[in-house]
Amino acid sequence: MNLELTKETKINNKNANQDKSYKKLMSESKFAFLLLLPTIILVLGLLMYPFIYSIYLSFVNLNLTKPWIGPQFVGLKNFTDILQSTEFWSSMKVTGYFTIFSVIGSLLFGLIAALILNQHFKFRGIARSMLLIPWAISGVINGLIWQWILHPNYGVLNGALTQLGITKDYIAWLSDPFLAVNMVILADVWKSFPFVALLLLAALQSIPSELYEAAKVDGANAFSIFRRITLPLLAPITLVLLVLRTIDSFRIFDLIYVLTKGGPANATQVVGYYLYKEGFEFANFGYSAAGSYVITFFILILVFIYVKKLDQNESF
Amino acid sequence: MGRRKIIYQIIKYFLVAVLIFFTIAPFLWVIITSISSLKDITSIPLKWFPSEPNFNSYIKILSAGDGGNDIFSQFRISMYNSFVVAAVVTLVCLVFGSFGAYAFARLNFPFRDKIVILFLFTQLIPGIAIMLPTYIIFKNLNLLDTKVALILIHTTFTLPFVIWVMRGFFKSIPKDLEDAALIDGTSRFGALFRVILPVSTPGLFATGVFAFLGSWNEFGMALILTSSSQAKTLPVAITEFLGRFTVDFGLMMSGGVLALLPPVLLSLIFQRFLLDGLTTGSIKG
Amino acid sequence: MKSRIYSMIALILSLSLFSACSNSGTTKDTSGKNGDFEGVVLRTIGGPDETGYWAKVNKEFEEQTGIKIERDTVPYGQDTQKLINSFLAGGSSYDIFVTDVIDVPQYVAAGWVEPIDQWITEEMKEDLLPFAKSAVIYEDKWYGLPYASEWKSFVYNKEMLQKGGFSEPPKTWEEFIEVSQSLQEKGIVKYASSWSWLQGEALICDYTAIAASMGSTLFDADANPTFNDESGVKALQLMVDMIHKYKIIDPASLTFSEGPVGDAMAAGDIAFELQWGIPTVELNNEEQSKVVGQIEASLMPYEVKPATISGPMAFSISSGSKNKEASWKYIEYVAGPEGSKRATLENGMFPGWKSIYEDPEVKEKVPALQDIIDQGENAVNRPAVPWYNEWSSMMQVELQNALTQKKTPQQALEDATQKTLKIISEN
Repeated sequence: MNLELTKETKINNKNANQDKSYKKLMSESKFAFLLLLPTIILVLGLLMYPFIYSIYLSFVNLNLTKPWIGPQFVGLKNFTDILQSTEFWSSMKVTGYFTIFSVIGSLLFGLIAALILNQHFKFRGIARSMLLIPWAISGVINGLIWQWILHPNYGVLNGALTQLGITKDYIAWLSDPFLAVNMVILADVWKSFPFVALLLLAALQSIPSELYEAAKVDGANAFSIFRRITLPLLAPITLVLLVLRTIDSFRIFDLIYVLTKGGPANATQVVGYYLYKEGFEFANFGYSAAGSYVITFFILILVFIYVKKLDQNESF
Repeated sequence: MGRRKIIYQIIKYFLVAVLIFFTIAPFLWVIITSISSLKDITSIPLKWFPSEPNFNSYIKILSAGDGGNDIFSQFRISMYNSFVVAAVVTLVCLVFGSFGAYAFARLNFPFRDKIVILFLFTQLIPGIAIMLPTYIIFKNLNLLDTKVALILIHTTFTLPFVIWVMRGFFKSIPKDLEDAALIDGTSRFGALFRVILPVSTPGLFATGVFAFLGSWNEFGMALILTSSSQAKTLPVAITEFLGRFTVDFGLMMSGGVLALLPPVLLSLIFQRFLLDGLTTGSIKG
Repeated sequence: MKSRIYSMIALILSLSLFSACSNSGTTKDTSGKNGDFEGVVLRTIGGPDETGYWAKVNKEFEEQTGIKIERDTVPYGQDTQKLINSFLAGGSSYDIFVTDVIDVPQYVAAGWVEPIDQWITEEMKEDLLPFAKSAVIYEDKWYGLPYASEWKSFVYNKEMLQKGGFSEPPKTWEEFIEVSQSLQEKGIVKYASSWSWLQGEALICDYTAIAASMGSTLFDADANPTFNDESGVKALQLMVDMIHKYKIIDPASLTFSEGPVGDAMAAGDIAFELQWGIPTVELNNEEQSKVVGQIEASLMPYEVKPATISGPMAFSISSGSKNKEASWKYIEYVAGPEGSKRATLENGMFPGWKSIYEDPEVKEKVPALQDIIDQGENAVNRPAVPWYNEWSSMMQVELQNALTQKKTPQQALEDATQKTLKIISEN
């Protein structure tokens, strides 16, 4: 702090000495304020204000079908209703299942992909570039792609499986609850493993090769090198990925909207889609807002647990 | 000894092939479908490559219709809308984001670090909860169904991220550069524009691509805030397109390919910056 | 080189900026005086204009009255969400909209619909078809003009049946199963029929119709749920068995809306379908159908009495509209007796006015009209209650639970009954 002031004073002094009409440097705070002004306006206006309004909504029942009563403050009723709703909890179950397997899937495939890409081979650059393709497309297009792949009568999955002799009949993948939810996970893993892979690859490449050399000299085999050197050094970035992927999976929406709309029999109705339906098809906005804050709270707890848990494991 | 190495090579290339296959197979299949005729698409057992590949579906999407309310013209217009919105969002985010990032990286002001954390937490605000309030705000501003509304909301969502990443970039630039400029008499803004930004182009390109992709691919807000060809963006138009053509798979896939080409191409072109940006932003951040 | 690229990028970006700012969305808030509507712009919203019908009609309306119509097109089913947003923000984003019979109680109760009693004539009131009433009249007030007052028609592919040795369409469900199995065994079709049994409103429509054909009414006169009685369970069991036991229905039906079903029929993939309106019109369209001239209508198979589901809709005016007079002019133009006749002839829409059914031109140009009218006598309605959408959403899940064999039909309907009672108690 002192150093800064001195430098500024130095600069100002120099200017003062050099020029009759010197430009005094703007104070840091003022400059910072100017720089941040547009951002502050946007964030206050389009994030904070809607945020506060939605908090208000979550404590209110708009009473849309009884407009003579109008909006009514109902305290915590929306929250208790949500927490007592069986449909909410079954959507949480679906979301939980989806999150667990999508996160594990993307981390696992991402790790494998990163390990493969860490090797030297021809066209490595091209292979790495291809990973960007699933990452760059939108959730909506991803839904379109997989809807087509999984098509019950003309889809390539059915075609391939029957031609390879693995299955006999064509399967209606999205008509069976169990199959549907797992296919949705597959689609999500396909889209999100590249992000994991690229980050892990960068981390792998930053591990100094001397560590590996030293281990090999000490007689360690590939497996124990992996376990004792690679994995622990990947831990920090893995934590970040774990958090990011969990948050993303919990809030999944676009894919479900295009691929299954929550069906069949609510088997793929994740909590994001459930709240969307409640809010925008039944106009239960207060209920929907309350629900989304319950989710956010839940996510925060999860993140907190992750960070705590993995921080503990750090010490060795 | 040599044999082990050969086996290792074989396994390695096999794994590489599997990886590449898994990564682009879905994408390739969509392309194949888009150039196939309906007859080939619906033939059982599955045809792996069309007997007569053609670009009819693409030609239809890109030229059919009368420039009016028909679905093809609407599709094309939505591509244009998406492009305009994404381009402006990118520009605005880069400019204001760099400003903000510089402030956080270099300047001292009260509550600085607390505000950074606050920004991060804005990313956690659930989109569903603020959809209706956002709709009402834009309605009151008479900005419903405009590209401006989308630009504003996309920018708001993306700014915190750009600030966070560029802050990391700026922090890694040695302070002496600006100090030298300041001592030489440049204003603060001058130092920012003439010294810092030119050195940060990798970071700018990386966050720029992120911003563009984020806006191009955004669906939720676009769905709520747009309704006519004035502002409708591609993800929304695609869902209409799909709902309309439930059997013409070639046509649907062509639409999908056209929708995913810009983000994919952009990522491939700028991949070096992207990959650097991804890693610097998250590992050092 | 670098600076050239930069300046190009800067140019593109600034052009985009200008382009973005040059548009602004406005709802022209002019209140037109009687007879003077020049410059008024009305906004409405609807599904894809597949035949270009609306583009044509709206243009002609503008030429005649000077009122411009802006029609937002959204995918099927997404207009509800936009409408609700509009209502919640005051109702002026859309002046005119289409209500489905299931939405009317809810919208009217919430005060979103403008009553049109002040404009409607005695003549019109007399001309209204009885069953179209449920979409336009609620608690004795008129809230719209009938549009697509349709029910679902059962149609079959005559040629396929003849190929299979059947000269008559099946009358009972037993016969339906027999014929379907026979057609499949003979290799004429892979699956004899598909149905729109996705987790959506379409599923409730079909279930209501099939249950009615077994004698169930879903609710009694006091609005108590009765669908878990013997006939209601039988109907659901039949649906489950047709997919899993007899295997005569494409299992992908659990993801189908009405669109894919219609497409399958037009492609000659299935032999039977239950479809809205007058499906023979589009199935005889040379450009889109492979089964031109092969389709005929009959009654849906039944056990107790023939039944089908009705789904009348109406053009309504938003109570928040700033151009109510002009809006009335528009809905009168497109959904009054004359506009309806045109919709029938050109768009295959079902009129809600008696006079149109007796019109000689209509009789001449619409094939199988009489058969389809006969079906209309048996059309049943879904319950008209403000909490319908909530009930339907719950019911769809339970029905699908049975259809995916997660629960037995008995169990699913009993659980549904419990949940229905809960919804009733909360309203």
